[in-house]
Amino acid sequence: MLIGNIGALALRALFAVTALSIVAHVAAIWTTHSLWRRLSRVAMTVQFVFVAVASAALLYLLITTNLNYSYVVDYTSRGLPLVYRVAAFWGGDAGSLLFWSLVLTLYGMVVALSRHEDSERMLPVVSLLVTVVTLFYTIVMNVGANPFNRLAHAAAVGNGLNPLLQNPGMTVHPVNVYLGYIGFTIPFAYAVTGLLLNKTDATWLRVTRRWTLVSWLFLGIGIIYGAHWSYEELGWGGYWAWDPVENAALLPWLTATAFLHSSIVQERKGMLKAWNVVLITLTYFLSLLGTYLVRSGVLWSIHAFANGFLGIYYLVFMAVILVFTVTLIILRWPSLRAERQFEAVVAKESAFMLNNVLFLGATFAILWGTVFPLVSEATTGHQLMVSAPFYNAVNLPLAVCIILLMAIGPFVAWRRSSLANVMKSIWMPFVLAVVLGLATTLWLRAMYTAPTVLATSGVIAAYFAILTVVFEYVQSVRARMVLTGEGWFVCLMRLLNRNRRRFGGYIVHLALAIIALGIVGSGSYHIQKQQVMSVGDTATIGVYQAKFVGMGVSQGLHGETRTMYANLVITKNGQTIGVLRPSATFYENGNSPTTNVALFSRPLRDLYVVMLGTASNNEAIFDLHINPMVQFIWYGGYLFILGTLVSLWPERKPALRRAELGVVVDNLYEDLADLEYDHRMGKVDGADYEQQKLELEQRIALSEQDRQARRERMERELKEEVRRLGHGSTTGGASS
Amino acid sequence: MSTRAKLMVALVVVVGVIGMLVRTAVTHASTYYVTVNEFFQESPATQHDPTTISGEIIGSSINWNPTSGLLKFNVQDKTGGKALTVVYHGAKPDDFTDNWPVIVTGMLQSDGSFHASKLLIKCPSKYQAQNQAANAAS
Repeated sequence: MLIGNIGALALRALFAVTALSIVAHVAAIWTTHSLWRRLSRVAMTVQFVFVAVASAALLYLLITTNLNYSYVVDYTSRGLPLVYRVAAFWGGDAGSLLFWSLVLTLYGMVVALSRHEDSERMLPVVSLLVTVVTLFYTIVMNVGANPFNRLAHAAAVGNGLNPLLQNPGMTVHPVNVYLGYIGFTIPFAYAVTGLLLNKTDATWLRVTRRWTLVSWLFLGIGIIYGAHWSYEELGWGGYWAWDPVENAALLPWLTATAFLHSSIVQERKGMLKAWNVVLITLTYFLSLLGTYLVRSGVLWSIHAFANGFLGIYYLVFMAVILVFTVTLIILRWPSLRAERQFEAVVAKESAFMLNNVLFLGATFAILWGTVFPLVSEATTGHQLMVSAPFYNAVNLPLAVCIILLMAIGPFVAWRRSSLANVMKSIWMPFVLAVVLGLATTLWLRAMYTAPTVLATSGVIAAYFAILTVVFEYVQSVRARMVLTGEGWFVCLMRLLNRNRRRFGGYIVHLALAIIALGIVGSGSYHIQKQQVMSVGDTATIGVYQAKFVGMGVSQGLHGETRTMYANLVITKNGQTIGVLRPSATFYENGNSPTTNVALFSRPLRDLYVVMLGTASNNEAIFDLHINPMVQFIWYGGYLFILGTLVSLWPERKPALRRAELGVVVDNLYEDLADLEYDHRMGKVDGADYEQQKLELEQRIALSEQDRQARRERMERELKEEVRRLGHGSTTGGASS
Repeated sequence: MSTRAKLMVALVVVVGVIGMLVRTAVTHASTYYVTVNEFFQESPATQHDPTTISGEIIGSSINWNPTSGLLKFNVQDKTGGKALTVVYHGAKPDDFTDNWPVIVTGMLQSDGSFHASKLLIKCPSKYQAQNQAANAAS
């Protein structure tokens, strides 16, 4: 009881804490006094401490199954394994809000305690923005959904957690999605801070690059893991249903991917400034929209939603964020001008722009489909909805284009390139990709079903992307070996070490291409068969034979469940591989039975068997699927994590301050280095290289002259000033 | 033509293509989305269009024939009203019980039954307290 009271009290007190924090942040911004700045930092820590106390209290109540609290009663029961009592923390509406606040205040504290360029000026504003968001959740928790609501009488038993959710996935998937969603608050807060302070250089991008990448990584893991969970647990043979809740997680991930690419253009070239602000705002807004859709119940989804009373809070909050940010962007529009112009149509800058358009196109299509029931009802009075065919029809061609661009993009030089040059570097991987892609398609056709044009182009594009990454690695390593005379392994390691961002990014490209292969394989060549079998019957699907040899029943640990299973002996080419045991679990407490999938996974195909039911005379009905290459999706997922981690790993040298306003010369030197690299990699041919180099060198010489002249003038003026002052002070000294 | 203009043209073309893609896909893949009562209020002509209907399962009407893989059941609005018979060829999902919300996509047949090509069951989510499900099952 005491612990519960402490938690409830901490949550109430959080109101006062956030309100006082806001005072401290505002004071720190207005007075720029160091005492207030320190207080502003401390305030962020205090917020975290209060939320942590409340969270610890709720966890204690859940673990000890204190049935006086309605939240505990709703989501746990006495027999529930410890890990799911802990998972109940984020399993329900009120608890997940507390978990949300915990992560948000933790992020806020870490940010407030950091130091970076211009942090004295930026941090109080960032802290203020994060605190306002925290205040919003504090209000929702205290007014709308309090996890510490007491029941008048203690309940006799808890409701427990739905058996389908009692899966290790429950501990991994929601947490990752939350960590991702919440993380976008930080880059968004920095972007707004930049606008408020009228500081439109790339500082905010450099400071928040890791925040964006980490959030993007968590959200990506959450999405892939969620797909995997659904595949292994739900027994429908697929992993992605274009359900509104799935879409809600994918939308901010897509815009964040676009943002990660376009931020490179701003950091290196000082272009696309307004665009980046818009993208991160959109990402944050879509993460809010996702939460709103999940919790408001405005859309029908296969995921059951909450009752909907929280929806209005989110709606108001989203409206405030949107109006505020859009106004700010409009007001600051003039200072968001690019530092330089596009120089050529074929250049890395425009390749990045095309990337952004494709990603935003996919985002728009998915968003449109998701809110289509709402839009159509508002405009025509009839609710219309779209389903998987719509999403596939739009997104699969776009995905093929994105993968093609992913293959070509790295070979396009910055500033100015030409189609001929690009062709020269990509023709070999492309021809190889076509050969490999057609061979794979023929093989898949022989094994499974007829191919479609889209599937074939998807396979070719994926191979193309894989091969270009391999080529890029091989060429870079070779170039280094020639220069340094070291072995290939040393060169590879040095290369990764020296340019983690670039080569980590390429690993992510490789991962996505492998995932694409998995999606094409399992999506286009999937075969399925439903068969009623008596004991002794054999079903044949693809290369496998499954012989039904009998059924059995096993008791659960505490007698609360009974599991009925079937034994299927699997053979391939006459050789016995093993026994698959699909089953169904029945619950004593009246929950409807659940099916358990039996999987035989091999890198090239999964045999996926579900027992749909039983009939009289020892017959059972089986649903058999072969999902070719579906494992590639999960392998790609691991590689995706690895690539992002390589890219995240801190570089020893602090990054060059490339896009500082007015640092023209540094930018030019950077261009020269790029040109050198591109030339060595064969992306720019000899004549073009000489010409561009000459041009750049002339511009550098001019800028250097300019810089020198300015320095001399400033020195002269300074000397003058000192002389004058010195003169003045001596007279002043004499007079006193 | 300046670089900027060329880029703008390219962008407009790409955006236009994506727009067309969305437009054709919407017209091909959208269905009316109604509740059971709304469905009965529609004109007979509209009733035979591809439609998506949401309702709740009437437990006593579930007829599952595993041998033929045929699932027959009635759906009704939460608030009551006329029930619609749904015929679905395929697996019976988990959690297929009385009062459980369901979405079916398909077409009305001349015999008055609704042939569903797709059947979606609300999956029990973390945001819904278990007691609602328990009530539904009892």
